[in-house]
Amino acid sequence: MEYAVEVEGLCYSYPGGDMALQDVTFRLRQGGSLGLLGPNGAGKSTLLLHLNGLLVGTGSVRILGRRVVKENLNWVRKRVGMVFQDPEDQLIMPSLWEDVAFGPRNLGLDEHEVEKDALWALQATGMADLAQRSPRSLSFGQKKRAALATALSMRPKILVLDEPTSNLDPRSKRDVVALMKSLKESGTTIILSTHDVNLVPLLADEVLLLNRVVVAMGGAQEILSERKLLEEQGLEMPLYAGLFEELRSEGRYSGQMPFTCEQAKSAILRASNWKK
Amino acid sequence: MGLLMLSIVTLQSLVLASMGLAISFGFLVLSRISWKRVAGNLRWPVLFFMPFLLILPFTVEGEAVASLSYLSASRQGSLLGLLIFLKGCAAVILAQVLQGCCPFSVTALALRDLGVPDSLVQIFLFTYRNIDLLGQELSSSFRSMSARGFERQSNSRTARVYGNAFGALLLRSLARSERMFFAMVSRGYDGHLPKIKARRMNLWDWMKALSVVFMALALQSPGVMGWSML
Repeated sequence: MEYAVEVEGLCYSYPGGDMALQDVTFRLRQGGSLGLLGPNGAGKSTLLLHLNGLLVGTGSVRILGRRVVKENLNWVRKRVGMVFQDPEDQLIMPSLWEDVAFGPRNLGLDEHEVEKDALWALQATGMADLAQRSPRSLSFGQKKRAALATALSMRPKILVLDEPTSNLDPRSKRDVVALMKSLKESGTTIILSTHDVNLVPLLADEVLLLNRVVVAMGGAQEILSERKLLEEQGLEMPLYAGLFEELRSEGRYSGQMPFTCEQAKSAILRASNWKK
Repeated sequence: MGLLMLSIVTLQSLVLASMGLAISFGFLVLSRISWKRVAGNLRWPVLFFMPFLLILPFTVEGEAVASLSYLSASRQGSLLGLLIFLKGCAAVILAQVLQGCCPFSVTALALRDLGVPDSLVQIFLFTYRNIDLLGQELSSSFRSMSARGFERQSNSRTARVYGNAFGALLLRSLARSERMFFAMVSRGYDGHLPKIKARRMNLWDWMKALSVVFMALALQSPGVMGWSML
C-alpha cells in the first residue's frame, strides 16, 4: 500500500529540554484522513510541523515514500500544504492575492500558472471576490478561509490543518467543513489536529490520540466510542455518540453508535419503529 | 517621482515652490486617489510643518513687517517659513501619489527592480502588513488593562505598567514572527521574494516618465540660470 505519511520513532524535545514527542509512530494511506486528538500541550502542533520539515526530531518522517531531510525539503513542501492555527501568522502580504500567489511563486511557476493556481484556490475557498483586499480588512472566518487558500494554491497532495475550525462561527465552520470534505473526496490526504471531537467524525476516517506519546490509533468511530480513554486524555465523546452511549448503558438503545446528525436521526427513527 | 520630490525640496524660491505644490496637486488629481484619504494622511505632516510657519517669522532676523507686543515678524523669516511649508506639503502629496496609486507590494517590488536591496524590500513589505497587527495587539493589551481598572496617570506605576505591556508585546511579536516564518517556509520561502516577470514599459510609459523628469529639471532651471524668482 502507498502511504502518504509514515512516521517512525519520532522524538522531539524543545530547546528548554521539555519532551514534546516521544517515540511517535503511525502511518496514513494516500487519500486517507486522520484526526489528531489530544489535550493542550500534547504535541499535536509540534507533530504537524515535522510533516513539513519545519521541525526536525530524531526518528524518521516519510512523505509519499521520501524521507523528510534537508535535501528533500522543497519536494516535501510542494506536496504538504500547511494551514496554521492562527490565520494572522499565515497572511503576510499586503493583499490576499499576493498571499495566495506567494507559494506558487516560490515554487518557481511561471506567472500564468501562478495566476491559474491562485484563482483556483480563491474560488475553492469562496474568496475570489476579496482577492484584492488587504488581509487585515477580512473577518476572522474569512481569514481562516484565506489561510486555507494560501496552502491550496500550491495544489498539495497532503493537507495539514492545525485547529481548522477553532474560533469560527457556525456558518464559517460549516463552510470550512464542506470545503475539506470536497478536498477529501477529490483524493487529498488530510491530517487535522483539533479539540473538537464532533468535527472528527465528519472529516477523519482514522484518529490518533496523542499525549506526547501515541495513546491510541484506529478507526475514528472505534476510538471515539471509548469514553474512558477519551476522558483520561481530558477529552469527551462526540455529542451524539455520548448521548446514545448513555442510552445504551441504561438499556434503552442497542443499535449502532451514531456520530453525525444524519446517523443520529436514522438511529432515532429505527429505535422508534422498533418500539412500535 | 522621487526625482521630482528631490527637485521640489531643494528649491530656494517661493514662486517655484508654489509651482511645485501646484504640480503635486496636478498629480493628485490625475491619480484619482481619494481626497479624504489624502487629507487624513496630510494632517500630521502639516502639523509638523506648521511650527516653521509660525516660529521662523519671529526668529529670523530681517526687515520687520508686523509687530505683536514686543515681538516683531521679519519678512525673511515669514518667506522662509512659507517656503518650508510649501515644499514639505508638495513632497508629502507626491509621496501619497507614489504610494497610493498602486498596491504597496507593487511599489515595494518596483523598488527592488530599481536596485534597493531585497532584504530591505522584504522588511518594508512585512512591516507594512504587521504594523497593523502589532497595533491591534497593543490596543487589546490596553483594553484588557482598562477592564481591570487601570487608569493612566503621571506616575512611576503607569510607566512600569506601560513598560510591561510593551515588553509583553515584544515577546508576543517574537513568538508570532517565528510562527510567521514557519508559515512562509512551509510555502517554499527560501529567504528571497520570488522574481515576478517585470512589466515592460511602453512608449506611453516612457513619455510619462520623461515628462516627470522634465518637470523636475524645469523647476531647477531658474536657479541654475541664476534667475531670481523671490
